[in-house]
Amino acid sequence: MNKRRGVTGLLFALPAAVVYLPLLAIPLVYTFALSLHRWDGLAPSWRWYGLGNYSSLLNDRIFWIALWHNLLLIGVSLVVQLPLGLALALLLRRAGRLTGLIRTSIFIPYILPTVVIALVWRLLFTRAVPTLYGDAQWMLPLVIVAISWRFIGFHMVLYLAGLATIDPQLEEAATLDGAGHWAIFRHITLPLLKPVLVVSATLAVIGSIKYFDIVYVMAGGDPPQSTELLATYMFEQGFDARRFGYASAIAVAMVAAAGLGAGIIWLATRVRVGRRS
Amino acid sequence: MKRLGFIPRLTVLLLAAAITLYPLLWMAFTSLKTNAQIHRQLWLPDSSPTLANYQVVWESAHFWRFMLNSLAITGGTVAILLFLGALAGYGFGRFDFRGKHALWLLFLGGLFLPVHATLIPLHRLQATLGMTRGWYSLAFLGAIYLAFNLSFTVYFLRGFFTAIPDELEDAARVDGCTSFGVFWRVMLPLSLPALTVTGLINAVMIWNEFIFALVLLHDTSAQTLPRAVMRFSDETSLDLALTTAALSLTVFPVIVLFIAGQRWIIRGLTAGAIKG
Repeated sequence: MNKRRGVTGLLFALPAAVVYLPLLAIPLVYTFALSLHRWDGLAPSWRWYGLGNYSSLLNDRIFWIALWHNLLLIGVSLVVQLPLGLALALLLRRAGRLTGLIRTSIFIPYILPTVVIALVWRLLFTRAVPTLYGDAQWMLPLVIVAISWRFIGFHMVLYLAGLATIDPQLEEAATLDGAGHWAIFRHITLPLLKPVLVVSATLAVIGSIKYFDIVYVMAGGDPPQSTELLATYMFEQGFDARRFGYASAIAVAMVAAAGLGAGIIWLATRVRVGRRS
Repeated sequence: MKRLGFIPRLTVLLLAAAITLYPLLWMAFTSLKTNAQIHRQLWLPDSSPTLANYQVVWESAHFWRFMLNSLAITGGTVAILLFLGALAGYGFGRFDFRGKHALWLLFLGGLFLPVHATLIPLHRLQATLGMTRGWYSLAFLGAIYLAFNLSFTVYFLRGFFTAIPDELEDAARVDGCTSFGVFWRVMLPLSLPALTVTGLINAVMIWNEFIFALVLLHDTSAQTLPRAVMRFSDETSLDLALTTAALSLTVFPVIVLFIAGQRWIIRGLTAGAIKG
């Protein structure tokens, strides 16, 4: 395509940039700067603290608990949500007339307000399993049920879109050659689905690092630390405890973790491709 | 491995669909019961439904106002978002200019950024601008929604504009159109399907948004539905009849929007994934 040069393109992009940069890029720099200071939100100026917030973070037991819970969320999404989504997509591929209805039913939680999801499950759990709800051991698993309920359908729909791009003749030809269903899945379907699998894994990892809404509304920090995540801890340290410098350091750690997560997936998939070709 | 037969496969799928839908149906039919009816039978619908809970929630608890707030902020933001997003998508998709690559990377970064990294500065900015109350706080929230949904919108629309054949644009230019004229008279009408997709997805995202509403809305009257329903559930100590009615009201517009635009929404959400 022959692209036009000059300043015109910039003029088209400018209005969006004027909204985007001050409200998103500049705050990010502000947060990083604040993470090097101490501030209670009231004092007229910040107090320089160097890397003090970060070294406190490394010695903060609750920070590590929160990080561990985020890693658990990543693990569960990769081991439970994605495989279940894939299984449902494979089953749904040849479900005949009811395909659309079933797909909509399983997908619908994804588009609902997270507050509603959290409150509905909270109401259900407090009635159905009253002894477990509020128990420090059980809170996180119950929250994970609600989160999985929301996301399985989303991954299923991604995989359905991916499966639709696979030429059915490939699988038919393999069947004629005497390949079993497992072999076809393993050597044809799965490799062809790889780009979609990478996208859904990336979304799951980054989403798990950012996670906040359902946990905050369902558990609200009770029992203490049982469901703590990086995002809820950042929120409490900032808006409840007014330790804005410390909260900013947690936020910077979240940005780093999201970047790291995306980077690891990107590298892992590149290396594998390299080895095969 | 043997492939599952049609009937067992369908059974598994229908079971999964039923498990997924039950919490929502439970919410809906519980909102149509009195607390006495709920006490008698918690898990099934009642034979004589009542709208009494909705009357309380809608009038006494002012949910009519929260509904209007949510409609205004969603509608207003999506309209501006589509206009700015289409302009930028056209600029990025069909022009070259100095600094384009760097600016594009900044926009893409927004797709991955945890919003928590901006909460404190935006909370401060709101106070500095004196926009913490009433309609001002809703307008500020709208501006935030605009900024945070631009990444997806520009990314999606850029992809669309890049794919439009050159001939269409060249023909319009030969006819004497300015660049903005080409955009307004040729590109925008052509991009109606793409605008519908991004508009619907953004509307759902903005309608549902919670954490910014939690941090930036301070007045009990100037709240969006997700924020209001959270406060209401606390105030009523999670009263089953009233809370489920408030939840159903919050969800209802999203479900209508989804059923009307399902095809577009799913296409938009999966488009990026398939291209890889």
